Amino acid sequence: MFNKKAQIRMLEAFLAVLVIFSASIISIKFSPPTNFDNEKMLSTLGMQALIELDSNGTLGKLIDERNWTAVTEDLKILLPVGVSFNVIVYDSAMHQINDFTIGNGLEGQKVVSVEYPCASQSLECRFYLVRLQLAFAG
Amino acid sequence: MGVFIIALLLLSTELYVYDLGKTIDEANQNSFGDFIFAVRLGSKHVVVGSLANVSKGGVNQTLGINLEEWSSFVGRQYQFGKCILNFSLGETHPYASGIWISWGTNGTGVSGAYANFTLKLLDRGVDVNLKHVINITTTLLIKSTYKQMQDNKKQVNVTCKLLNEGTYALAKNFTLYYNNSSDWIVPGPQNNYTLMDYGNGTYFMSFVADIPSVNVEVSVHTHDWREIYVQTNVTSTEI
Repeated sequence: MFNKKAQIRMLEAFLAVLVIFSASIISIKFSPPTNFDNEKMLSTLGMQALIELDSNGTLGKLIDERNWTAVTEDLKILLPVGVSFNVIVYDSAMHQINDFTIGNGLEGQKVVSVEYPCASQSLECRFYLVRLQLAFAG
Repeated sequence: MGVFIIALLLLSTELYVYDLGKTIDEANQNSFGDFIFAVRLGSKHVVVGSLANVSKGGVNQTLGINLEEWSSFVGRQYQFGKCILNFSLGETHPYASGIWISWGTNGTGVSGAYANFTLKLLDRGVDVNLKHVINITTTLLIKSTYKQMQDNKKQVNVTCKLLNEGTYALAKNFTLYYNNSSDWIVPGPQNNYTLMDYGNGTYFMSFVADIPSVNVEVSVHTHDWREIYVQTNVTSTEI
Protein backbone atom coordinates (compact mmCIF):
# COMPACT_ATOMS: atom_id res chain seq x y z
CA MET A 1 0.00 0.00 0.00
CA PHE A 2 2.79 2.41 1.05
CA ASN A 3 4.78 1.55 -2.03
CA LYS A 4 1.84 2.27 -4.32
CA LYS A 5 1.34 5.75 -2.76
CA ALA A 6 5.00 6.53 -3.10
CA GLN A 7 4.99 5.41 -6.68
CA ILE A 8 2.04 7.72 -7.51
CA ARG A 9 3.83 10.66 -5.78
CA MET A 10 6.96 9.89 -7.76
CA LEU A 11 5.00 9.80 -11.00
CA GLU A 12 3.25 13.07 -10.04
CA ALA A 13 6.56 14.77 -9.31
CA PHE A 14 8.08 13.47 -12.52
CA LEU A 15 5.15 14.78 -14.55
CA ALA A 16 5.36 18.16 -12.75
CA VAL A 17 9.04 18.44 -13.64
CA LEU A 18 8.30 17.48 -17.20
CA VAL A 19 5.56 20.11 -17.48
CA ILE A 20 7.63 22.89 -15.93
CA PHE A 21 10.72 22.03 -17.92
CA SER A 22 8.88 21.86 -21.24
CA ALA A 23 7.12 25.15 -20.43
CA SER A 24 10.48 26.81 -19.73
CA ILE A 25 11.99 25.45 -22.94
CA ILE A 26 9.02 26.66 -24.97
CA SER A 27 9.11 30.12 -23.38
CA ILE A 28 12.86 30.50 -23.96
CA LYS A 29 13.04 29.07 -27.44
CA PHE A 30 9.97 30.57 -29.00
CA SER A 31 8.21 33.56 -27.49
CA PRO A 32 10.87 36.01 -26.22
CA PRO A 33 13.44 35.67 -29.03
CA THR A 34 10.73 36.11 -31.67
CA ASN A 35 9.59 39.37 -30.08
CA PHE A 36 13.12 40.68 -29.75
CA ASP A 37 14.07 39.64 -33.28
CA ASN A 38 11.04 41.54 -34.56
CA GLU A 39 11.95 44.59 -32.50
CA LYS A 40 15.55 44.41 -33.69
CA MET A 41 14.43 44.04 -37.29
CA LEU A 42 12.02 46.99 -37.01
CA SER A 43 14.67 49.12 -35.37
CA THR A 44 17.20 48.26 -38.10
CA LEU A 45 14.64 48.88 -40.86
CA GLY A 46 13.78 52.27 -39.36
CA MET A 47 17.37 53.42 -38.98
CA GLN A 48 18.30 52.20 -42.46
CA ALA A 49 15.35 54.08 -43.98
CA LEU A 50 16.33 57.30 -42.17
CA ILE A 51 20.01 56.93 -43.09
CA GLU A 52 19.06 56.34 -46.74
CA LEU A 53 16.82 59.40 -46.74
CA ASP A 54 19.52 61.51 -45.08
CA SER A 55 22.46 60.26 -47.16
CA ASN A 56 22.31 63.18 -49.61
CA GLY A 57 20.75 65.66 -47.19
CA THR A 58 17.15 65.09 -48.34
CA LEU A 59 15.76 64.44 -44.85
CA GLY A 60 17.12 67.70 -43.42
CA LYS A 61 15.98 69.63 -46.50
CA LEU A 62 12.41 68.27 -46.26
CA ILE A 63 12.26 69.11 -42.55
CA ASP A 64 13.60 72.62 -43.23
CA GLU A 65 10.78 73.03 -45.76
CA ARG A 66 8.26 71.43 -43.35
CA ASN A 67 7.33 69.15 -46.24
CA TRP A 68 5.76 66.40 -44.11
CA THR A 69 3.90 64.90 -47.07
CA ALA A 70 7.17 64.22 -48.86
CA VAL A 71 8.70 62.72 -45.68
CA THR A 72 5.69 60.36 -45.40
CA GLU A 73 5.85 59.37 -49.06
CA ASP A 74 9.61 58.75 -48.97
CA LEU A 75 9.36 56.61 -45.83
CA LYS A 76 6.47 54.65 -47.37
CA ILE A 77 8.81 53.80 -50.26
CA LEU A 78 11.82 53.01 -48.08
CA LEU A 79 10.00 50.86 -45.50
CA PRO A 80 8.64 47.44 -46.47
CA VAL A 81 4.93 46.85 -46.99
CA GLY A 82 3.33 45.75 -43.73
CA VAL A 83 5.28 48.16 -41.55
CA SER A 84 3.27 51.00 -40.09
CA PHE A 85 5.05 54.10 -38.83
CA ASN A 86 4.69 57.46 -37.21
CA VAL A 87 7.28 60.26 -37.13
CA ILE A 88 7.78 63.04 -34.62
CA VAL A 89 10.35 65.74 -35.40
CA TYR A 90 11.93 67.87 -32.68
CA ASP A 91 14.11 70.93 -33.13
CA SER A 92 17.40 71.41 -31.26
CA ALA A 93 15.48 72.75 -28.24
CA MET A 94 13.41 69.53 -28.27
CA HIS A 95 10.18 71.23 -29.30
CA GLN A 96 7.97 69.17 -31.56
CA ILE A 97 7.78 70.92 -34.92
CA ASN A 98 5.51 68.71 -37.02
CA ASP A 99 1.97 69.98 -36.69
CA PHE A 100 0.94 67.48 -39.36
CA THR A 101 0.79 63.73 -38.74
CA ILE A 102 3.70 62.04 -40.47
CA GLY A 103 3.01 58.36 -41.03
CA ASN A 104 0.65 55.79 -42.39
CA GLY A 105 -1.29 55.16 -39.18
CA LEU A 106 0.71 53.34 -36.55
CA GLU A 107 -0.90 50.02 -35.71
CA GLY A 108 0.47 46.83 -34.20
CA GLN A 109 1.00 45.20 -30.84
CA LYS A 110 4.71 45.88 -30.47
CA VAL A 111 5.88 49.40 -31.24
CA VAL A 112 9.58 50.13 -31.64
CA SER A 113 10.99 53.64 -31.45
CA VAL A 114 14.28 54.79 -33.02
CA GLU A 115 15.84 58.22 -32.69
CA TYR A 116 17.92 59.80 -35.40
CA PRO A 117 19.98 63.01 -35.00
CA CYS A 118 19.78 64.96 -38.24
CA ALA A 119 21.61 68.05 -39.47
CA SER A 120 20.34 69.99 -42.45
CA GLN A 121 22.71 71.24 -45.14
CA SER A 122 21.05 74.65 -45.15
CA LEU A 123 23.12 77.79 -44.70
CA GLU A 124 21.85 78.12 -41.10
CA CYS A 125 22.72 74.46 -40.27
CA ARG A 126 19.64 73.44 -38.26
CA PHE A 127 19.59 70.31 -36.12
CA TYR A 128 16.67 67.97 -35.60
CA LEU A 129 15.88 64.82 -33.69
CA VAL A 130 13.69 62.48 -35.70
CA ARG A 131 11.76 59.93 -33.66
CA LEU A 132 10.44 57.13 -35.84
CA GLN A 133 7.96 54.70 -34.29
CA LEU A 134 7.40 51.45 -36.16
CA ALA A 135 5.26 48.34 -35.85
CA PHE A 136 4.35 45.37 -37.95
CA ALA A 137 0.80 46.12 -39.03
CA GLY A 138 -1.89 43.60 -38.19
CA MET B 1 11.79 16.01 -5.09
CA GLY B 2 10.76 19.57 -4.19
CA VAL B 3 14.40 20.64 -4.26
CA PHE B 4 14.81 19.13 -7.68
CA ILE B 5 11.79 21.02 -9.01
CA ILE B 6 13.01 24.32 -7.55
CA ALA B 7 16.44 23.73 -9.07
CA LEU B 8 14.91 23.16 -12.45
CA LEU B 9 12.82 26.29 -12.14
CA LEU B 10 15.89 28.33 -11.23
CA LEU B 11 17.84 26.85 -14.11
CA SER B 12 15.14 27.64 -16.62
CA THR B 13 14.83 31.20 -15.27
CA GLU B 14 18.59 31.66 -15.63
CA LEU B 15 18.47 30.39 -19.17
CA TYR B 16 15.68 32.82 -19.95
CA VAL B 17 17.52 35.79 -18.44
CA TYR B 18 20.71 34.83 -20.29
CA ASP B 19 18.90 34.60 -23.60
CA LEU B 20 17.13 37.89 -22.98
CA GLY B 21 20.38 39.66 -22.16
CA LYS B 22 22.07 38.30 -25.26
CA THR B 23 19.33 39.65 -27.51
CA ILE B 24 19.36 43.07 -25.85
CA ASP B 25 23.16 43.26 -26.30
CA GLU B 26 22.79 42.50 -30.00
CA ALA B 27 20.10 45.18 -30.31
CA ASN B 28 22.39 47.67 -28.53
CA GLN B 29 25.27 46.86 -30.88
CA ASN B 30 23.02 47.54 -33.86
CA SER B 31 21.86 50.89 -32.50
CA PHE B 32 25.50 51.64 -31.66
CA GLY B 33 26.61 51.26 -35.29
CA ASP B 34 23.59 53.13 -36.64
CA PHE B 35 24.16 56.01 -34.22
CA ILE B 36 27.82 56.30 -35.28
CA PHE B 37 26.76 56.36 -38.94
CA ALA B 38 24.08 58.99 -38.27
CA VAL B 39 26.60 61.22 -36.44
CA ARG B 40 29.12 60.95 -39.28
CA LEU B 41 26.45 61.78 -41.84
CA GLY B 42 25.22 64.73 -39.76
CA SER B 43 28.79 66.02 -39.34
CA LYS B 44 29.22 65.94 -43.12
CA HIS B 45 25.99 67.89 -43.62
CA VAL B 46 27.15 70.51 -41.11
CA VAL B 47 30.47 70.92 -42.95
CA VAL B 48 28.67 71.21 -46.32
CA GLY B 49 26.13 73.74 -44.99
CA SER B 50 28.83 75.80 -43.31
CA LEU B 51 30.98 75.85 -46.45
CA ALA B 52 27.96 76.94 -48.49
CA ASN B 53 27.43 79.74 -45.97
CA VAL B 54 31.08 80.89 -46.03
CA SER B 55 31.28 80.68 -49.84
CA LYS B 56 28.34 83.12 -50.02
CA GLY B 57 30.00 85.69 -47.79
CA GLY B 58 29.69 84.20 -44.30
CA VAL B 59 32.61 84.44 -41.89
CA ASN B 60 35.16 81.60 -41.71
CA GLN B 61 34.27 81.00 -38.05
CA THR B 62 30.83 79.72 -39.13
CA LEU B 63 32.19 76.19 -39.52
CA GLY B 64 33.62 76.08 -35.99
CA ILE B 65 30.48 77.58 -34.45
CA ASN B 66 28.16 75.14 -36.26
CA LEU B 67 30.29 72.10 -35.40
CA GLU B 68 30.39 73.19 -31.75
CA GLU B 69 26.59 73.28 -31.70
CA TRP B 70 26.36 69.92 -33.50
CA SER B 71 28.75 68.29 -30.99
CA SER B 72 26.68 69.60 -28.12
CA PHE B 73 23.43 68.41 -29.76
CA VAL B 74 24.79 64.93 -30.50
CA GLY B 75 26.14 64.61 -26.94
CA ARG B 76 22.62 64.98 -25.60
CA GLN B 77 21.03 62.40 -27.91
CA TYR B 78 22.79 59.09 -27.22
CA GLN B 79 20.43 57.00 -25.10
CA PHE B 80 22.64 54.08 -24.10
CA GLY B 81 25.59 55.91 -22.57
CA LYS B 82 27.82 58.90 -23.11
CA CYS B 83 28.73 60.35 -26.50
CA ILE B 84 31.52 62.90 -26.97
CA LEU B 85 32.14 64.35 -30.43
CA ASN B 86 35.34 66.40 -30.67
CA PHE B 87 36.63 68.13 -33.76
CA SER B 88 39.57 70.15 -34.98
CA LEU B 89 39.50 72.39 -38.02
CA GLY B 90 42.11 72.32 -40.76
CA GLU B 91 44.66 75.06 -40.05
CA THR B 92 47.54 74.07 -42.29
CA HIS B 93 47.94 75.99 -45.54
CA PRO B 94 45.72 76.57 -47.56
CA TYR B 95 43.09 76.16 -44.81
CA ALA B 96 42.18 78.79 -42.22
CA SER B 97 39.55 77.90 -39.59
CA GLY B 98 38.88 74.80 -41.68
CA ILE B 99 38.01 76.81 -44.80
CA TRP B 100 39.84 77.14 -48.11
CA ILE B 101 38.54 79.72 -50.55
CA SER B 102 40.67 80.26 -53.62
CA TRP B 103 38.96 81.99 -56.51
CA GLY B 104 41.91 82.65 -58.75
CA THR B 105 42.42 84.29 -62.11
CA ASN B 106 44.12 81.22 -63.59
CA GLY B 107 40.95 79.31 -64.42
CA THR B 108 40.77 77.38 -61.14
CA GLY B 109 38.37 78.17 -58.32
CA VAL B 110 38.15 76.17 -55.10
CA SER B 111 35.77 76.30 -52.14
CA GLY B 112 36.76 73.73 -49.54
CA ALA B 113 36.38 72.74 -45.90
CA TYR B 114 38.35 70.31 -43.76
CA ALA B 115 37.72 68.99 -40.27
CA ASN B 116 39.02 66.08 -38.16
CA PHE B 117 36.58 64.32 -35.83
CA THR B 118 36.94 62.05 -32.83
CA LEU B 119 33.81 60.26 -31.70
CA LYS B 120 33.95 58.68 -28.24
CA LEU B 121 31.12 56.43 -27.10
CA LEU B 122 30.97 55.10 -23.58
CA ASP B 123 28.43 52.35 -23.05
CA ARG B 124 28.05 49.48 -20.59
CA GLY B 125 31.44 47.78 -20.91
CA VAL B 126 32.11 49.41 -24.27
CA ASP B 127 34.56 52.21 -24.94
CA VAL B 128 34.75 53.24 -28.60
CA ASN B 129 37.09 55.87 -30.04
CA LEU B 130 36.59 56.58 -33.71
CA LYS B 131 38.45 59.08 -35.83
CA HIS B 132 37.35 60.36 -39.19
CA VAL B 133 38.07 63.22 -41.56
CA ILE B 134 35.56 65.23 -43.55
CA ASN B 135 36.96 67.02 -46.56
CA ILE B 136 34.47 68.84 -48.78
CA THR B 137 35.80 70.50 -51.92
CA THR B 138 34.03 72.09 -54.84
CA THR B 139 36.39 72.86 -57.72
CA LEU B 140 35.64 74.83 -60.87
CA LEU B 141 38.03 74.55 -63.82
CA ILE B 142 37.56 76.78 -66.86
CA LYS B 143 39.35 77.14 -70.17
CA SER B 144 38.57 79.87 -72.66
CA THR B 145 39.54 80.55 -76.25
CA TYR B 146 38.48 83.27 -78.67
CA LYS B 147 38.42 83.76 -82.41
CA GLN B 148 38.92 87.26 -83.82
CA MET B 149 36.12 88.24 -86.19
CA GLN B 150 35.62 91.51 -88.07
CA ASP B 151 36.42 94.78 -86.21
CA ASN B 152 36.42 94.18 -82.45
CA LYS B 153 34.01 91.27 -82.60
CA LYS B 154 35.24 88.12 -80.99
CA GLN B 155 33.72 84.69 -80.65
CA VAL B 156 34.50 83.31 -77.19
CA ASN B 157 34.25 79.64 -76.25
CA VAL B 158 34.41 78.65 -72.57
CA THR B 159 34.64 75.08 -71.26
CA CYS B 160 33.82 74.53 -67.57
CA LYS B 161 34.34 71.48 -65.41
CA LEU B 162 32.82 71.21 -61.95
CA LEU B 163 34.07 68.72 -59.39
CA ASN B 164 32.91 67.65 -55.92
CA GLU B 165 35.69 65.99 -53.93
CA GLY B 166 37.60 65.38 -57.16
CA THR B 167 34.78 63.71 -59.08
CA TYR B 168 32.66 65.38 -61.73
CA ALA B 169 29.47 66.93 -60.39
CA LEU B 170 26.48 68.82 -61.70
CA ALA B 171 26.01 72.55 -61.30
CA LYS B 172 22.81 74.13 -60.08
CA ASN B 173 23.38 77.27 -62.13
CA PHE B 174 26.04 79.12 -64.07
CA THR B 175 26.66 82.80 -64.72
CA LEU B 176 29.23 83.81 -67.31
CA TYR B 177 30.73 87.30 -67.51
CA TYR B 178 33.13 88.86 -69.97
CA ASN B 179 35.17 92.02 -69.56
CA ASN B 180 34.69 94.60 -72.31
CA SER B 181 37.65 96.58 -70.99
CA SER B 182 35.53 98.64 -68.59
CA ASP B 183 32.74 96.45 -67.16
CA TRP B 184 31.88 92.87 -66.49
CA ILE B 185 28.93 91.99 -68.71
CA VAL B 186 26.65 88.94 -68.83
CA PRO B 187 26.23 87.83 -72.45
CA GLY B 188 22.62 87.51 -73.59
CA PRO B 189 20.67 86.40 -76.67
CA GLN B 190 22.00 89.46 -78.54
CA ASN B 191 25.45 87.85 -78.15
CA ASN B 192 24.28 84.48 -79.57
CA TYR B 193 24.94 83.07 -76.12
CA THR B 194 24.61 79.30 -75.88
CA LEU B 195 25.16 76.93 -72.96
CA MET B 196 25.61 73.22 -73.54
CA ASP B 197 25.36 70.79 -70.62
CA TYR B 198 27.09 67.49 -71.33
CA GLY B 199 25.46 65.97 -68.22
CA ASN B 200 28.75 64.81 -66.75
CA GLY B 201 29.96 67.96 -65.01
CA THR B 202 31.28 69.50 -68.24
CA TYR B 203 29.66 72.61 -69.68
CA PHE B 204 30.37 74.53 -72.87
CA MET B 205 29.47 78.19 -73.33
CA SER B 206 29.83 80.32 -76.41
CA PHE B 207 29.07 83.96 -77.29
CA VAL B 208 30.04 86.77 -79.68
CA ALA B 209 30.83 90.25 -78.32
CA ASP B 210 32.57 93.52 -79.05
CA ILE B 211 35.74 93.41 -76.99
CA PRO B 212 38.37 96.03 -77.95
CA SER B 213 41.18 94.52 -75.88
CA VAL B 214 43.28 91.56 -76.98
CA ASN B 215 43.04 90.29 -73.40
CA VAL B 216 39.62 88.66 -73.38
CA GLU B 217 38.83 88.02 -69.72
CA VAL B 218 35.93 85.79 -68.73
CA SER B 219 34.60 84.95 -65.31
CA VAL B 220 32.37 82.00 -64.38
CA HIS B 221 30.29 81.92 -61.17
CA THR B 222 28.47 78.77 -60.15
CA HIS B 223 26.65 76.94 -57.35
CA ASP B 224 26.83 73.17 -57.10
CA TRP B 225 23.80 71.13 -55.98
CA ARG B 226 24.94 71.48 -52.34
CA GLU B 227 24.61 75.28 -52.69
CA ILE B 228 28.40 75.73 -52.45
CA TYR B 229 29.45 78.76 -54.46
CA VAL B 230 32.66 78.99 -56.47
CA GLN B 231 33.98 81.35 -59.12
CA THR B 232 37.09 81.85 -61.20
CA ASN B 233 38.44 84.09 -63.96
CA VAL B 234 40.66 83.33 -66.89
CA THR B 235 42.17 85.20 -69.83
CA SER B 236 41.20 83.64 -73.14
CA THR B 237 43.77 82.47 -75.59
CA GLU B 238 43.38 83.30 -79.27
CA ILE B 239 42.93 80.50 -81.75
